Amino acid sequence: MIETRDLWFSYGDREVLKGVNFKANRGKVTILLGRNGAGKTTLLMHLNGLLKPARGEVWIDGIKVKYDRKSLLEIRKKVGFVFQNPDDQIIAPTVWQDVVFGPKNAEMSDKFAKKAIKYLELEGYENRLCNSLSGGEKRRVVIAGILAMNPDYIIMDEPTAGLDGFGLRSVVEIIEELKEGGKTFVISTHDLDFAKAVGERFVYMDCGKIVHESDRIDLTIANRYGLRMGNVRGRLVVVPHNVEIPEIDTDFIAAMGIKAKERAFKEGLDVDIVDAVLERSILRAVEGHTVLLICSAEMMSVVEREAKKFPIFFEVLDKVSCGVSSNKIGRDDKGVEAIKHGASGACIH
Amino acid sequence: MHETVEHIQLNSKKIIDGDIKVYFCLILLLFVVISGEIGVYVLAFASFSCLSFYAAGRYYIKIIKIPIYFLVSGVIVILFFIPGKTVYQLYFLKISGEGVNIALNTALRALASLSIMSFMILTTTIPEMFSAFKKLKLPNFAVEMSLLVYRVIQILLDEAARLERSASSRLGYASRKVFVNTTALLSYSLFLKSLKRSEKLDRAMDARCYSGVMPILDVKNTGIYYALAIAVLLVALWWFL
Repeated sequence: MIETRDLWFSYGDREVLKGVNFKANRGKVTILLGRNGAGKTTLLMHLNGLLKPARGEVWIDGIKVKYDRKSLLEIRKKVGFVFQNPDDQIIAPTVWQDVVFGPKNAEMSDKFAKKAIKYLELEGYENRLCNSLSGGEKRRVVIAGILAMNPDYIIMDEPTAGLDGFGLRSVVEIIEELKEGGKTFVISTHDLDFAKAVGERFVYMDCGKIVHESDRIDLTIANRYGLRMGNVRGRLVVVPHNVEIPEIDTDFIAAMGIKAKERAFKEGLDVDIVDAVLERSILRAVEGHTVLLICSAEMMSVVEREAKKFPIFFEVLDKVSCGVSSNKIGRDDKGVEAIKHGASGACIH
Repeated sequence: MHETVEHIQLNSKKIIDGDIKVYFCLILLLFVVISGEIGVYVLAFASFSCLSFYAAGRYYIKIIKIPIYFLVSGVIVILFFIPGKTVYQLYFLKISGEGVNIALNTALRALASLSIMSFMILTTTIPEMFSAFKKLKLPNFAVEMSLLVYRVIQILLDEAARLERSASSRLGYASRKVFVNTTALLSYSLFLKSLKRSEKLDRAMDARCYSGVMPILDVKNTGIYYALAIAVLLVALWWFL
């Protein structure tokens, strides 16, 4: 396990890490999410001993990191670091020279380098000059350079930056296969598709602190902390039949269950969706619409369970349970649309 | 698309390859220069021109063209200004027999040397060359520094190309005044980027346990018999002439 305890770091007067307590479990893929400048890269560089904290400690497999040359060498054999820009990491002019750079310097055999070249389909590229490679090929070269040292932990700083769909899929496959082989990953990204594809634990950073941790992506949190949301735009606002119906601007109104339909009729609402209500409401939300779903209070748990499986913003307005006085949609101080005083959540598995 | 020497080197067809190619070219270059036999020059020029043309096609002509311009002008000067018995006169310009001899000798020697060098340039990348030098016991630090400098040059050239494109797209070369201003800005940006780059390179090397070793390429030697045949022919010709 890699762990940081109360980690503080600053570049000059600017504090970048403010007491970070981070954990990455062995054999898992931990995703570090956050906007630009949140401190993700700085935290990652501490995990490989590239930066020395101003205060706090880094622990790897139960051993506290020391910053003398010999200890750092041991850490770097154990923890490989893949930089965001492959050109920053490629040191040698040709593919083979770059891949074996680590093993030669660490006085290891080039057994793993040969394996890495084969595994990353770089056979035949050994004598190629690195500046003649495409972005995706360079990415594979830097990953091969790290695998050549056979580290237990692999740190990746935004590995999908600048990659096309093929490149992204290739990186996802590589990570999944290596994970099967027992490698541990700590990856920083603001690409939710990628995070969703490989992640097992999600850690959100903002302003040098860890602000949220979970086992699944929380779209509301992700939105709040400036992550790219892809095409997630729609909102499903769910109201139990026995609470006050909020006055919100919606594209569709749906009523699910007899009690909900009676309530909608009583309120004089023009209901658009009355059949296959849950499926059609989710579909409309996936399309990017805002759907107000009035449902029987007994069905709330079913709606919540199903809705959280889809890439939509899911919000529950439950005046009774939350004891709120107003349910109007507004904007929070971060400029993110949110329901004031309402319980809300949005997840994709 | 603009073709760089590196692309030509990578895509060339190599009859002779590996460290042997570097040694073969350098030894034969030395031999041809000191042999002093016109027959050797002609044979060397013919054989290396064939090898180069096979390896890189029209790029051989392209690469040899520029030095030939200089060679021609030099040969003309030699032809007209070497004193001796006049064999031909054109108005006030006199060509002596010795002038013809020296000009021919110089031209053929230069062409033979150029063809050998061109073959090496067209088929050998810098890392291959340093790999061969390192096996000749060139000091580690010299190889390491050269390869690092070469890698940084690769990156800076890419960076310069990007900056140049950016400047062009925003009319950075619209007039002479703007051209000078843009070039100054571009040089300044490139300098700053190179400083930043050195920090990143240092960090990348640290992250991969750098302890002063720069791996070298190990290219398999091929075409040894061709190389031997050419060498034997040249030496035999020199011996019998």
